[in-house]
Amino acid sequence: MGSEYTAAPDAESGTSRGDRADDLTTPEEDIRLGICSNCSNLETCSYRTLGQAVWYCEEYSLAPLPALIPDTLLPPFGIKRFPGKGEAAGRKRPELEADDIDAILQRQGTGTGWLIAVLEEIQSAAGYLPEKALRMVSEKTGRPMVDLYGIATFYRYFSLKPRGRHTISVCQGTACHVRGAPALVDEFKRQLNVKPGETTADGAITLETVNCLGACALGPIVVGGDRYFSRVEAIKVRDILKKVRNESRTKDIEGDPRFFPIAVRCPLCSRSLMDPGLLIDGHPSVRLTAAYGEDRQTIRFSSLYGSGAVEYEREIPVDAETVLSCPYCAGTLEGESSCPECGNSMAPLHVEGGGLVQICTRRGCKGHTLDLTLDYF
Amino acid sequence: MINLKINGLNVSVEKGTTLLEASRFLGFPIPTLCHVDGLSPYGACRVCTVEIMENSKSRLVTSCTYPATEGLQVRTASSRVISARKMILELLLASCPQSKKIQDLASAYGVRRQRFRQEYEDCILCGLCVRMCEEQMMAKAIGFRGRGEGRSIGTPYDRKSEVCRTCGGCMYVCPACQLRCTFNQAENPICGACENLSPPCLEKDNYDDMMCSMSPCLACEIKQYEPLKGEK
Ligand code: SF4
Ligand code: FES
Ligand code: FES
Repeated sequence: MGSEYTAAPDAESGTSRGDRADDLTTPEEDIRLGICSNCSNLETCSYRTLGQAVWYCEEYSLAPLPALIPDTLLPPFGIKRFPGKGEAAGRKRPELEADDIDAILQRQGTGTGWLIAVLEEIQSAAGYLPEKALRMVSEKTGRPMVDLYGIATFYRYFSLKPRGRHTISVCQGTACHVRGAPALVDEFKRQLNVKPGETTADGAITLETVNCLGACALGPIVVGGDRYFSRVEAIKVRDILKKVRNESRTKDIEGDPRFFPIAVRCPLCSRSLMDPGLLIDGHPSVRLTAAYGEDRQTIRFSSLYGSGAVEYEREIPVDAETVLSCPYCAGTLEGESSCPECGNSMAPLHVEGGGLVQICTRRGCKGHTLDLTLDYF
Repeated sequence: MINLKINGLNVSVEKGTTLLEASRFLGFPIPTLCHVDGLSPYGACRVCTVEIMENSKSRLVTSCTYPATEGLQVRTASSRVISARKMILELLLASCPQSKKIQDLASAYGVRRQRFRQEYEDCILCGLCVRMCEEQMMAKAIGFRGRGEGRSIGTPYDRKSEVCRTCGGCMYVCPACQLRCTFNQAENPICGACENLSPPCLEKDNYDDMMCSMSPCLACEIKQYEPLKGEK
């Protein structure tokens, strides 16, 4: 079980753990102590003495994470949940062993429609359908291999070859075709140096063609990662690749303990500013209203602390100072501190669970601070 | 028992009988490619098309899969059926011009021209071999793979199957495996019925080192079918 959770090797943790070895007898006891916020180990908690608020401390890094803690509150201790279904977890996918297949079969049962569900689960765990896994399913269920192979090759969703972390699908439907989609495929082929259906050597991008994505009026359509690009011309291909590769970076920082998601509220009306409807960096974005001169627009920040990604509706000149306000109570977000990077004023936001995050209001500046000593629970 | 009318003749058949079986019972010939007695019907090749009357509308269906229903009116050789069959055969001929079975049928139906580009496929995806392997040989070594244009028949991963006993049943039933006679024009898939020889068949010896498909002699059959068109 333990190996499912990765604990980042941390030099400092070694000492604190060693010091407290006598207090804690077994790991099971650790777990019983509960999460730090109401941990009974108040006297010895090294994080508390640092005056730092934590939701979950290193001592528990090998224990299963209680479901109680939402993903967004996992602190930067290198603790990761086991990559669940659908999550593009790490580069290394776990090898599926006989036990895993057994578990999957158990879960999906063998009633009607089980086969596709089983294959789906295998694919999301391994990223593709390994031959070994198919053979195991065939052996365990008595379903002939041709059937499995037939299904695996029939549905486009299934892949018998390992796939890249991202898929670029170029529509080749009729409407897109007449608007020059074939030239797009050629351009993608040239720039990625792969044929449709293949994956780039670095395992980042799989190129695919599809037959209509249902957005013909906006064609030619290209889907890169989770995004749709409409009216694509060959000249935009480079841009799309850049964006998709950027997303790749997002996926990379996901495992990096220096980036972690936070959830924020308006300090004035206490309403949550999180917008799960629009993901940035794969996490719900933070929605705010930004005023620049006469113009007011909704802007969205990445809720990954450290990412600094922002999306604007309309362009705001770089270096322009904006006034940020809450989209619900319309109260202006003003604070006393100034940005550590450029000295401009910063907008304060309350961190769910306690703490204060401040973001620089100057367009283009990624300065922001996080202070968890305040308002602790 | 179910009563239906085939080409104007009344016939009673058991429930579950297909139109193909009922027509054959009455002696009406219906050509088939993907039907073999003892294998489940599949309806892939469409050459067994017949016309049925349903709610005073006529419609083409594949007789090998269509079950007989009470009061159904069936025509097995109406002009609509014949022209549909000819078109189907022309298309099949375009995809598999090397098949003797298809060529024989095509010439029997008087297909005299080839308007489609020849694909030189070696399979018409009729699924006979798959059904043979599964239903008669209980092996399931081969199956359909892929979809659409990329659909093909074969073993998983194109490797020799562990369950195949090399019985050869798949080749035995295959309508595309037996190669046709190419006469002296290998490129032309249309049976020349040895150039409609006159007098027929006498010069056949000239080609005696070639495999001729004229057994039974198709040149005669061509003549047989010619008046059918005028018949209406
Ligand atoms: S190989 Fe022959 S029997 Fe099998 S599907 Fe193709 S044509 Fe039919
Ligand atoms: S044809 Fe491309 S979206 Fe429909
Ligand atoms: S024999 Fe009926 S469709 Fe082929």
